[in-house]
This record gives sequence, structure tokens and C-alpha cells, in this order.
Amino acid sequence: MTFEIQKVKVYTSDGKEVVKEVSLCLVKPGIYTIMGPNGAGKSSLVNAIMGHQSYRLEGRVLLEGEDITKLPTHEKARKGITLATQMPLEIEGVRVAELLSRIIKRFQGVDKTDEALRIARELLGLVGLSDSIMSRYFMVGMSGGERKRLELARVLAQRPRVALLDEPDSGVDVESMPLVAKAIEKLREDGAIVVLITHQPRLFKHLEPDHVYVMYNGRIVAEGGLDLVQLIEDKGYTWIAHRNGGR
Amino acid sequence: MSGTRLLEDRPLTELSRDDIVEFSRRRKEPEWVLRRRLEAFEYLRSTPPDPKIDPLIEKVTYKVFIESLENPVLPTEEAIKAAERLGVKPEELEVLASGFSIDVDNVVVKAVLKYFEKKGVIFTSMDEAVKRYPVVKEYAFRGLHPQLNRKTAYHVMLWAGGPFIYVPRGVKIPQPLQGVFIIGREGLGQTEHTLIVLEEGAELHWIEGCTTPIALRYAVHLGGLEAFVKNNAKLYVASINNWLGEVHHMPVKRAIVEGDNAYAELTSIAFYSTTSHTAPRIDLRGRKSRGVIQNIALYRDKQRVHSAPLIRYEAPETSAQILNRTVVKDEAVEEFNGMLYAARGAKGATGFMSCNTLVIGDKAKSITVPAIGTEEKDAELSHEASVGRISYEKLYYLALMGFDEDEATWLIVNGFFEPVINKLPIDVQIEVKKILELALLGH
Ligand SMILES: Nc1ncnc2c1ncn2[C@@H]1O[C@H](COP(=O)(O)OP(=O)(O)OP(=O)(O)O)[C@@H](O)[C@H]1O
Ligand SMILES: [Mg+2]
Repeated sequence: MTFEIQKVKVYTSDGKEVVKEVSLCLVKPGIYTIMGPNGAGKSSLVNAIMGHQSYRLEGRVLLEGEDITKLPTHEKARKGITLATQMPLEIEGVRVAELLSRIIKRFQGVDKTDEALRIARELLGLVGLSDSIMSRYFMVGMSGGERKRLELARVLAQRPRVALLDEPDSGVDVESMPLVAKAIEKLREDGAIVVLITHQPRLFKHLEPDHVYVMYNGRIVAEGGLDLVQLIEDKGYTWIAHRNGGR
Repeated sequence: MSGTRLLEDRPLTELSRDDIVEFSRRRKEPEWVLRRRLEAFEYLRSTPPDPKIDPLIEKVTYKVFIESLENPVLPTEEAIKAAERLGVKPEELEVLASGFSIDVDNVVVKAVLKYFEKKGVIFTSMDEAVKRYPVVKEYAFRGLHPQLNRKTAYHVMLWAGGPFIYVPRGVKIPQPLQGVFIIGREGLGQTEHTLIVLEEGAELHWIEGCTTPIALRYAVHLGGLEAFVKNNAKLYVASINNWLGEVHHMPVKRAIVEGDNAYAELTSIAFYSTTSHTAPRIDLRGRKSRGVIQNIALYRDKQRVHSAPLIRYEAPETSAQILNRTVVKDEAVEEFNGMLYAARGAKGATGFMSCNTLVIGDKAKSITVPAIGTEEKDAELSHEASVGRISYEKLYYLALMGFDEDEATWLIVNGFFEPVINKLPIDVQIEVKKILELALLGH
């Protein structure tokens, strides 16, 4: 599995450059973390990669060597790349069971609804959500943490080759954190490239990232291992960015 | 006049008094039925044409109308197949000892009712009923009377076929009775008349499906339903319309809730027609009686729809609801003029009208003008309306899950209808979902 983004710049519809030039070349399954201050351009980058219409993307996105830059979002998803969004939306009137079973049928080649529902319940269990959530409308009236966990279960249901996770841990309580970490771990075990955007170093108590990038003001300004996370905690993003010649 | 003249090709709007007499004779109807037809004829002659109604009826020829009544074109199997597309399975219904009737071009070809006949339930065709049951005369065309409006007058003048359902005192029929009305011929005006009488404490679910087995070049649906609901009785009517081709849908419907604590619910589920003019009406005459009119519909292509449900309160402590939940797409235009009206005597009446529309695309339109009127100061009537669109954000979010735009739209539309659909009888739910899938995804 390889996932590459080459010289990617992202502009908003009013022409503002929110990602200045980012290249990543990820060649094996693993958890690749992106950390950075609010407004650094992390969400813009992953949404632009997925083809959100508010962004114009320059550069190239390659999945297993294939240029998928221009594909519509649903086709990207069908090719095995998806995004857990920072703010999952409510889909009124559509039950969790219905949505997840449709996804499981498509992405896991399951024919029988019963089997799809069984898998759905298993995935919900993995992120610590109870069966009773199956009959609720998707995301409707759910708490912040519940949404994040359901979103993660949804991504797992797609068995992605590349999973872009935009703050899957924010708003998740202390007790659920290990479950969220385990679910992310499962993606890696299943052979996926996971791009994990997070603000919380405490997530790494439960999960070891393969690599850490620091994004600052639209650029990757530093990369390294867990020691980089420690440095962020000690010195902050601005210090790191300036040390490394970022603005 | 002679029978040969009768079969001349001319529009239904240009029939003579003699034609009506001849029509009634051919059908061997009792005198009182003819009188009602003639009253309708007179009413039509003395009122000006309605530009929304008359031109559509004008295109139907008398010859085709008569021929299809006398020689239904569809073999029974085809009719049953069409019925099955509306979710009705005759075998199942027989097992459940309920009623089932298929009405092809106004002729009842199948009617099954075993167990409940022993309890005095009558479920037969109106053609038969007017001849056999004196009770019919007491009710028929009292709700849908010839002077109500032009559309109703056309219906009364030309009605043929349809079921008569009589549920005696205290009899509750748990399983829905079903009827299917099929237009199987080009140029037809379908005019079935459904008459329902529920005696004290009776309960009935009536599901009627209207469809066509093939896409028609032109047809008019001018069916009628009138119901009378006595003390503590409960009536639930669900009409599923799924037309193909150029069909003009203009049914007339009225439930008179005469009894105290009685209840009537008229649900209409409409999926396709070229134009649609509906004005279902409930009159609440019994103390504490209740009424609900709900409309669930998907309008598309160049469909033109006008709906004007009316609930009229005439007794104290009555309550009612009008719910309109519609999706408008392509170049369809919906006009909605619902009305809750508390007449003198409706002290303490309460009511709520709720209209939610989902508009898809830039060319579709929905014009919603709910109205409330009251002659009683303490009546509490209110309404709310919302028009929503499908946001890009939602389509994008569903695309992340692999759904293309059509699939995502279908999911959102389903979700929009879900809260109302899940309260309907299960047979209806399943069918509605199937029709929706066909309408939005083409499979
Ligand atoms: N559609 C848009 N239109 C205008 N400005 C935008 C748009 N999307 C993002 N921006 C701006 O681009 C910058 C980067 O936003 P982005 O959401 O990518 O930040 P982020 O790194 O994800 O921050 P956070 O950690 O707060 O989630 C911000 O200044 C934001 O206001
Ligand atoms: Mg963000």
C-alpha cells in the first residue's frame, strides 16, 4: 500500500492559500500523525484531498501509484480512501443500522442484511457504543464523543486502505480513549495507512504512532517520532516552527 | 335517445341529460341513483367551467369511458400483477380472512371477505350495493353531494364501481382491507366511488392503491371516497397513488365524523401524476371527535400539484391535524393551501397544521400557504411550515461513505419521510420504500 501527496497546495474558493506546499510519501501501513495549531490547515488538507468543493487543490494525490486527484469524492471512497470528519453531520431519518449495513454490504462484499448488521454491532462494540444506538438516527442528538466514536466505526466499516482521521479523539472521555486508540490500531493491523490528526498527546499513551508531522501555517515544518510530541508539549508549535525556519 | 348515439365520440363535458339517463339505464340502477346523477348534471350546467378541472375532463371521450366500463381490458392476472406492484398479495389477504378487491377500469373483479361477513360486515361493489342494500341510499352522495363543487359533480354524474364497506356496531377489523383501482386503458376517466360506513365503535383500516399497469398517454382519475364515522368509531384510510404516463389525478374525498369521540384519518401517498388536484376534507361533527389528513408525496419532472386539504370543526372539543410532507424535484411545482376551520359551535377546538417540504434542484418549487379560520374565540389552531434543501455538505459527507449523489439523495429523501412513514401500516411502509427507490434510483 502506498499513499502519496505531491506538492499539494490548497486554496479556498475566495483564493486564500490555506495549504502552502505539502508532500507526503507513505509507503507502508502505519499511523502517521499530523499535529499543529488551530488554523494550521490540517482539515483543509484532508478535505481537499477528498475533493470537497470549497477547496481547489494543486498538486497530485496518488493511491497505489494511481492518480486520484480529480476523482469525485464517492469514487475516491470506493477506491478505499475515506475521511473521518472533524464534525460529523446528522442524517435525519436514517438509522445507524441502515447506513452501516449499506456501507458494510458495499465495502465488505456482504450480501445478507443479518450478517451486515452483525458486523455493524461488532464495530460499534469496538468503539464502546452499545447496540441500542443501532436504531437511532445517524448522529442525530448524539453527544460529541458518541459522534466521534460512531464516525470511527463508520470508517472501519469501509475497510479503508487509507483512513484520514480528523481529530477522532476530540471530545472523547478518558475511559473511552483506549477504545478509540484500539479502533485506530485495528486499522493499522488491517493494513491501512492512517493519517491521524490530533491535538492530544495523551492519545499516545494508548497508541504508538509510526511517524509524527508538525503542520504550521500551511506547511509541514517538522517530523519525527514520539520525542517530537514531547517537544511540542515542552516548547509549543511556534518555537518548533521558528527553529526549523518556518515563519 | 338511442344506444348508437350514446357511443359517439365526444367529450365527457358535453354530455346531455339523455346521455345520463341512458347511462344509468344501461347500468340498471335504481331511480334514486339516477336522480343524484341528474342533480350533478344540473349543477354542472348552471355553474361556469373551472379552468383547472374542465379542460382535463374534456379530453376524455364518452366512448372510451363506456367501453372500458362494459368490457374491462385487463385480464385478471395482469391486474393482480399490477396490484402486487402496490404491495398487495391476494393469497396472503385471503389467509388473513380480510378483504381484497381489484377494480379494473371500475369493475370489481375480485372480492374476498370470509370471516367478517358473518359478523355483518359488508364489502362489495358499489354497483351491486346500490341495488341490494337500502343502507347505501341513506349515505351515498351525502358527503360527496352533487352541489359541493364541479369536480365532485363530475364524479357523481359519472361514478361507476368502487367498493361499499359497512362495518356494524362494535366490529373491529384488525387487518387492513385493501382495494386496488387500475386504469388499464388510454383516455379513460376513472370514477370509482368508495363508500364507507362505520357504526358505533367500529374500526377499519382501508388501504387503496391506484395505479396503471402501463404508461398511459392520457387518463383522468376522478375517483371518490366518502365515509361516515359514528360514536367511538375509528377509520384509517391510506391511498397510495403511483401512476405512469400522463395521468391527471383529481380524486374527491370526504369523511364526516358524526359520532362523539370518533376518529378519521385520511392519508395520501402520491408518487406520480402529471397534474394533481386534491382537496380531501374532514368534517368533525361529533363532540371530541378527531381528524387527521396527511399527505406524503414525491413530485417530479414537470408535475403540477395543487393540494387543499380542509378540516372543518363543527362540534366542541374537537381536534385535528393536517400534515403535508413532500419532496419536490426537477421542474415540479407544488401549491399547498391547507385549511383548518373552526365553525360556530366548535368551542375548545384545537388543531395543528405542519408542512415540511424538501426541495431538490433549482427549478423545483413549493408554494405553501396554510390558512386558519375560526368563528369561536377559544379555538386554538396553529401552523408551521418549513422548506429545506439538500446541502452540499450532506452530499459530501455521504460521498465519503461511498454514496454517489443519487444514492445520497435517496437516503436523505427516505430519511425525510421516515418519521411519518413509520407510523403507517407495515404493508404500506414496505411498498412506499419500494416505490421511492424506483422513483429516485430507477431500480
Ligand atoms: N472554506 C473556507 N473558507 C474560508 N476559509 C477557510 C475555509 N476552510 C478553511 N479556512 C481557513 O483556513 C485556515 C485553516 O483551517 P483548517 O480548518 O484547515 O485548520 P485546522 O488546522 O484544521 O485547525 P483546527 O485545529 O482548529 O481544526 C483557517 O484560518 C480557516 O479559517
Ligand atoms: Mg481542523
